[in-house]
Amino acid sequence: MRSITKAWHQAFWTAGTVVLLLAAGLAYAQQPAPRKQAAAAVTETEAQASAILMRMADFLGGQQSFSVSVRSGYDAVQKSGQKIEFGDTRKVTLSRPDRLRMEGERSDGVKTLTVFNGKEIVLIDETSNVYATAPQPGGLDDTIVHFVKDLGIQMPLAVLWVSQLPAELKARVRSVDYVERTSIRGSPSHHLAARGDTVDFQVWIADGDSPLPQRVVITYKQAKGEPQFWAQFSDWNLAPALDDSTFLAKPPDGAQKVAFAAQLPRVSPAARKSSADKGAKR
Amino acid sequence: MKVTSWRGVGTGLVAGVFILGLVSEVDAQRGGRGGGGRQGGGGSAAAAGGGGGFSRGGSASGGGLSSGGGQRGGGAAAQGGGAQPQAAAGGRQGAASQQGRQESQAQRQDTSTQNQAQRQDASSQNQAARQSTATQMQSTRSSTITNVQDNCNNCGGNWDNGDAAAGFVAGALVVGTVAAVASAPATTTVVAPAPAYAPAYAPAPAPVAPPCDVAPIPVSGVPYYKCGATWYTAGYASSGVVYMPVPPPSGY
Repeated sequence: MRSITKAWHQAFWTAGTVVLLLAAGLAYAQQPAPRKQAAAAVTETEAQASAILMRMADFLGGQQSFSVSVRSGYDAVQKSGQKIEFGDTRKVTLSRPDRLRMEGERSDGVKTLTVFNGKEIVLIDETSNVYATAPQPGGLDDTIVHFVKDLGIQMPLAVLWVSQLPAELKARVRSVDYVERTSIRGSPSHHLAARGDTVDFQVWIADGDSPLPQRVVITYKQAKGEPQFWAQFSDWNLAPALDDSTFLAKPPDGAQKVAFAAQLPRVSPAARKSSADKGAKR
Repeated sequence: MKVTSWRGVGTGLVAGVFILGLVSEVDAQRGGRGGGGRQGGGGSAAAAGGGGGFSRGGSASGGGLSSGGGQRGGGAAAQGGGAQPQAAAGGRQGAASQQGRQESQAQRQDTSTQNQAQRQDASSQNQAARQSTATQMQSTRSSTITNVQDNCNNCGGNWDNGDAAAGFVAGALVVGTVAAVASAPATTTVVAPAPAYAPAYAPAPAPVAPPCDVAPIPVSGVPYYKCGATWYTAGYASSGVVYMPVPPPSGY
């Protein structure tokens, strides 16, 4: 009986020691593991994020036509440093190679309609009852760049509407990483964080066969106050019903035609100073 | 009795190691997710309600995927501040999540032995040191990239950076300035000094009326306004209708 008890004790302590050593070994092995895994995962997650981002770019840039509603907001950093948020809603309808319709309403109620009809750019400001036109320089990509860069009219997220979106992103994005898989209004989405030279941005891209952006947040990291712009996309339609009226912009009766300010002839600074001096003498 | 107490100690040790292992496992599985880091932006914005002359412009108003204004307009301060929070790069390994993990480790340590606490302190310090080195390296790398970009005239062709639109706002401000000098302005728009390039802050609202109270002079169907010796006409910019100084129309 005594020898049985002794044997049992020996067995217990042997087993206990083995378990203890195993557990200690496991714990030791597990400690550095997260660091090793994380170090390896950086490139994996970056590669994954990059693939998702470029898949979205290829998909969106390759669409023949689509329509989408965009609700957006941005920080206007006041001289006092205070940030005020303004925003607008837009409906974008696009048909490649050269048509676009963008109806917008600012948060203060100002309504505008911009149409590229293949020959002409027409911008109607319903609130001020004015409109401006300019010849359309070519396809949609060229026209969007001309509209923003040369005519100086803001078109939020203009990069998203060009077919060269993949190239534009490649040129601008220095790094991108995967944040998490999440849900945007019930739609499973990939949350990515990208860094560029002058802006950082986050984008939520729908998981699945239609990798469309669901939400974007841009941080202007070099601007004072680091303001942000955000946009929420809804009602993506990759087969919108289009007819002749879709890309027709008829200014309302009595609307005054004005030039795009960018196209007005400029007064040289010297002439302006001289004029001001003359005016001051009066 | 003696056997029972040793058994208790042994069981306690085994259980302790297993619990530590499990905690460590959970921690590992949670990995870098550690969401922490969202700094509640939720400031006290509520006050300044609408209307009162707040400017709608600024770097973010154009929603571009690039920004030119900051680079020229004085974003130097932002470079350091802006890069720092994310310097530890991307979601899963973010500094915030590591910090979160360290904090929860510290909490667990409170219930553990002193020796463990000391070991962990040392490990945290090492981790912090490694992290700051990594941050510095990353920061150096990104400033190198920036320097390379600065030398490149047309990298990325950042046509949507808002420079053009900002130029117009500046132009509109000049109108106001000239008007203030030229003669009695029709509006009481407060005019800020025109910045050299894209404004770092949102510019003051642009004038939306002719800068002086004179009758329009139609030339080829386009109304011009002569304020002192300066001619103006209306143009359309991102902010809406603005009045720009122009050369005298033909015939004047």
